[in-house]
Amino acid sequence: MIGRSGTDVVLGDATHGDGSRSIAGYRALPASGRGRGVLVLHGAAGLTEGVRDTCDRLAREGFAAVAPDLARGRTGPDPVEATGRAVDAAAECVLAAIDAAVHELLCNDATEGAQVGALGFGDGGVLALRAAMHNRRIGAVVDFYGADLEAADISPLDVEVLAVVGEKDELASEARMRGLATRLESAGARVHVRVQPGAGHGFMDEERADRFDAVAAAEGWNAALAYLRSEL
Amino acid sequence: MSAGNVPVPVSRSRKRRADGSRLGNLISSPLRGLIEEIDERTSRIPTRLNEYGYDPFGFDPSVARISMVPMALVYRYYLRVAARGVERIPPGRVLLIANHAGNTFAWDGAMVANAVFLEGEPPRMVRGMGEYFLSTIPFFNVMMQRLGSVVGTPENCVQLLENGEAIMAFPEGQRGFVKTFDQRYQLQRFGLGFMRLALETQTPIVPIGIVGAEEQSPGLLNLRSVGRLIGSPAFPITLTFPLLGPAGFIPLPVKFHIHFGKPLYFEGDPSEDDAQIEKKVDVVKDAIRALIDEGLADRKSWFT
Repeated sequence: MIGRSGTDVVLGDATHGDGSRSIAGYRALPASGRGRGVLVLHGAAGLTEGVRDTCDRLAREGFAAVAPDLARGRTGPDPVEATGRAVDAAAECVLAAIDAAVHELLCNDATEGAQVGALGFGDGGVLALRAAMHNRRIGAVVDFYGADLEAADISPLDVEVLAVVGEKDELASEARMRGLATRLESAGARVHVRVQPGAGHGFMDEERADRFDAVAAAEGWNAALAYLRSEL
Repeated sequence: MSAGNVPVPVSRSRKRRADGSRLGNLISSPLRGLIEEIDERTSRIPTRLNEYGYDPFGFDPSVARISMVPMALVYRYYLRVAARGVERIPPGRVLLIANHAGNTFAWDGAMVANAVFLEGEPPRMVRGMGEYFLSTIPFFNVMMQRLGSVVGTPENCVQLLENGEAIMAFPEGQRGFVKTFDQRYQLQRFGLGFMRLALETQTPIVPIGIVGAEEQSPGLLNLRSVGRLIGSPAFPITLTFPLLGPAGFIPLPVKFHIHFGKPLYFEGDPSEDDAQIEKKVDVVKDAIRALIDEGLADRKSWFT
C-alpha cells in the first residue's frame, strides 16, 4: 500500500444516550487544491483501510473526500462480530455523523460547490441513499451493489443516483436493483442503473481477492468518476 | 396529489392530517405545497418525545407544525427574508448569537428560526431563550413551550446543549429589543452569560447579523415606568403600538437580510473574571457587526 494522502480527523461532536462523543472520520483533500466534495460511506465492516483508499483515490482524481466513522471505531471482516450488527441508518448518531461530514466538506476551503456527492459499496451504498433522504446538500449518489432498501424505508429525495450492479451478482442482482430504482424514482430521485458485464457481488473490493475483478472494478470506478463530475 | 402521501413523524399528526384533508380542499395549492414542505421537513427532525407527545421542555412538534405555516408565509412573502450562510451552522450543539431589535414582536428570532428550518440541511428546530417575564403571561407561556422556547436559565441551556440542540440567544436582551429608532444598528451592551455557557459546554458560536428588524416597528420611546406596572422590563411606544392595539404587533413590510457567520470556537475557564470573558464576547460582537454591515450593503432600501 502506498502512503496515505489524507488524515484521520475529528468531524465534530454527537450526542448519544450516554453523553457526547466526538465523531471521527478520514479526510483526503485534492492535490490539485480545490474540488467537488464527496462523502464516502462505509458498509458493515466499518471505516476500513479500503474505505480510506477510496478517499485517497478520489482525492487523486481532484475530489475532496470525507468518510465519517459511523461504527465508532469498530472494523472487521465479519460485520456482526465487528459492529454487533449492520450500521443502523436511522440511528440519530449515524445521521449526526453524516451531517458532520457534509458540514466538514462544505465548510472546507478545498471544496467547491454548494452540494456534495455520496458514494458507497454494498451497505455503504444504501447508507448513501439514506443520507441523501436526510440531508439535501447531497446532490448525487453512487451506489455500488447496495439494493437492500425497502419501500417503507424510502422517504422523498431529490437526487441523481448511479446504481452499479454486477451482471452475475448473486446478492443484489440486476432485477433487485431495477426494483429499487423504480422505488427511488417514485420518491423523486433520478436513477441510472449500470450493469457491469461478467462481474459478481463485491467486484470493487480489493480487500477481498475472491470477489475482486480488476477489469470490472476499473470500468466501474471510471463510470463513477464520470458521473460525479457531470452531476456535481 | 392527496395529502396522505407525505410522511409525518408522529402518528397523532398523521390522524390530524387525514381530518385536515377535507379542509385542505378549501385552501389554494401553493399553500398546500408549503404545508407539505413543512411536514416533509418536520419529518426529518429527530425529537425525543414522551408518551404525551412533548419533549422534556414541553415542545410539541404537532403544535409547532401548525404555527409554522403562518411563520413560513411571513418569511417567504411578507418579510421576504434573504438568508445567507445557513450551511455554516455546524450539526450538533450550537449557540446562535445575533443582534436584537423589534420593539413589539421578536420577528428577528422567528425569522432566524425559520431560516434554519426552511433552508438548513438537514432542517433543525431552533430553541429560543425567553425572558422570565414571558413565562408569566397566561396562555402565551404554554404556547411558547409547545413551540420549543424555554426560559433562559443556565440549567435549561446546558441541558438543551447536552441534547445537541441549537439555541438562539440575543445577548443584548431588552436593551437591544426596545431601542428607539435613532439607535438602530447600534449594538448595545452584551450580556456575558452566553460566553460562560459556551466555555462550560464547549459549544461553537455562530454569529448572526440581522438587518430589517431594526426598522420593522420604529420605536419612539420606552416608557419603563409603565412597563414596571405590568412586571415587564420595558414598554415600547412605536408608530403603531399601543395606538392600534394588537395590530401594533404587525411589522412594516421591510425586507430582512440575515447573514450567518463562520462558527467561532472558544476555550477557557467559564468562571473567569468579567473582563476576561468580555474580551471573548467582543470577538463575537465584532463578527456580528461585520455581518450586519454585509447585510446593509446587500439591501438597496428598507423594502428591497
